Amino acid sequence: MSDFTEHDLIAFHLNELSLQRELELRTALATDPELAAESQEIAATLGLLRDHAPSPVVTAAVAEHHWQRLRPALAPARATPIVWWRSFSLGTVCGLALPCLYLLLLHTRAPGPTPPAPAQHVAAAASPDRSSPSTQAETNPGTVRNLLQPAAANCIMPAPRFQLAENAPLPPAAPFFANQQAALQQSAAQNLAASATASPPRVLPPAADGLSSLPVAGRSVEDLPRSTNQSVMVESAPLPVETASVSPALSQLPNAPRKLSRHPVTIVAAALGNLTLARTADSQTVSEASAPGGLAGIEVPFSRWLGFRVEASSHPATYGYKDVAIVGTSAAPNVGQIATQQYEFSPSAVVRFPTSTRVSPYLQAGAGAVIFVPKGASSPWVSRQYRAAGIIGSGVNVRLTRHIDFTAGYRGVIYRTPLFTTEGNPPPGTYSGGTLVRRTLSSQPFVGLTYTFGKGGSE
Amino acid sequence: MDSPELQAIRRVRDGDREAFRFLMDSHLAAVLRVTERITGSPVDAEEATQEAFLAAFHQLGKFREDSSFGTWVYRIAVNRALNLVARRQREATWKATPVEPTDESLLPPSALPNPEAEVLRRESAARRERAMQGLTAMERTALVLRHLEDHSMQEVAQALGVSVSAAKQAVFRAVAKMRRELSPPAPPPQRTPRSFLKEAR
Repeated sequence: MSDFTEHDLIAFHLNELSLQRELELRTALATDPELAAESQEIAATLGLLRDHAPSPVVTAAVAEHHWQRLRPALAPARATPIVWWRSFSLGTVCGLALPCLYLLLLHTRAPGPTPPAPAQHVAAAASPDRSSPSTQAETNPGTVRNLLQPAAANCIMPAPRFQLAENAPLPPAAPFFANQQAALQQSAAQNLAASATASPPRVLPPAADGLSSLPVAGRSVEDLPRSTNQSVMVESAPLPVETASVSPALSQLPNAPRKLSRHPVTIVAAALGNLTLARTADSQTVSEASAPGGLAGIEVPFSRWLGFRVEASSHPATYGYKDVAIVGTSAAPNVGQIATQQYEFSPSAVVRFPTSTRVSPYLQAGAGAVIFVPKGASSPWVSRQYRAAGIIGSGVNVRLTRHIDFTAGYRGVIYRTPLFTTEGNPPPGTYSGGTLVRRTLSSQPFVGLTYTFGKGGSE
Repeated sequence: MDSPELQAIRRVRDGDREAFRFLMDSHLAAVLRVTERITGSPVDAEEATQEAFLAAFHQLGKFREDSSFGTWVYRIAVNRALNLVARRQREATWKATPVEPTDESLLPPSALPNPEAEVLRRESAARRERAMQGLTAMERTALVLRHLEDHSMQEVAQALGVSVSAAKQAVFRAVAKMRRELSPPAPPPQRTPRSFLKEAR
């Protein structure tokens, strides 16, 4: 019993066998009549194919016919088409650069006038500006005065502080709280009357939680007229004063001066490794050679916890296919390879878990697209492939400087395995037909650096 | 001294489209032969040939003068024929018939002298063509290029854009399929009275 297959016999007749193998086959043909009969059948098939192959004879009339059909279409040569990867690169760069530029401008816009320091507040309270609209409060010595200082729109306000006059009446304890609502209503009515006579009415934004029960010098903060700038102080007396910090709720008042963003935009550049395990289904094994690549991205945070990230990556990917149901021979291996360059573009949501000012781990999930561009192939059998992809990942940022972070992490890219073929015509050595290996998980660990724009690291 | 082919290429690049006639005439036979062998239809072969020469004309600016125009346009023609066969196989109901009545004088003439030989040739060719239809376009092209056009496996693989092993696999699969299709049908089993009774039961 010989170990020669039909493919070996075909290779023999097409002169594709190695010399050693050919000698072995000739010996086997001399001793094995069944093998010799099969060999003769293959030779007859090949002879029949060659004998009846079309061999058109091109006459002058045929040539003229072709020329007359071709000639009208021979317009002047077109300009060289834009190479696809140039347009892809340009589009990616523009797509990343434009939002980056916009957000950079947005986050680095010049702030308004510098807000006064806390010490300046004290000084201002000690020598109140008579022309200020707070004269209404001065008519009631010993009560709270509201120093409505016009402040810049974009300044960081220090925590408001109260100055308590030494002789100011302390808020009553139980009686006050027992009759708080009545007192508040009475005070509000008095305040309203005084405001109507001494100064134009001011807009009162809704009080924040916890303010309605905050007594200050015998009156609640709710009694105080408010405006867009909340700086509440007790009227200063000629005697030494003492200060006390107000409830944090006060700093949370609506319409508080806008702070600079504490979550600036970052861009990332990293090197990644593409690692994919071989997977087998229905006798087809698909593998992908590990390869290094590059990753670039931009992250726009919405808050300290949430952000939006857009990433683009590229790496070479050589796909290997093996049909394990076929016994490969030297003449007819059962494996095939397709070399590609793989591009991925993916927006994703990022959830951060900042554990300290220096370390910020995160998780990400999103969806995108993967493009497989075969290298050096012009055949329709290895056409460019496009796949939708899901992205999951995690990583950590470690601050190195105010603007530079070290970043490392893992990305998992899931997509349907590329076929590199047109439907119904699988390339040989790759698939025996159909979409057999459905999904690919491409594991991509990465390390790189991020750059934080604006007030990076000011948290 | 530049070859006439190279001079024609430069003239075409300079805007003289009539010079392309020389290039087409020089390689029309080879291109028409391979496209007809791949597509199996004179009509499709003509279409693929036209597309190939048109593509060559438009891409002549990219053609490197140190390579052969014939090889280049041949490869374009192979790809066009491949595309055409793949398209036809997807359109299962498609039947290649010309829009205008075909002028028989423009089709390549038969080399056989008498009608009987021509009938036999056509029957064999039809049988062969039926068998070829059972191949995928990839297998068919690989078989044509390797066995009928006598290209090496490396050239076949390059033309198809696949590895050499993949090209070999395609050729071997194609020959195996053709062998099964073209081999004479197995004789029916001898029917004995016993087997007849067994079938009747």
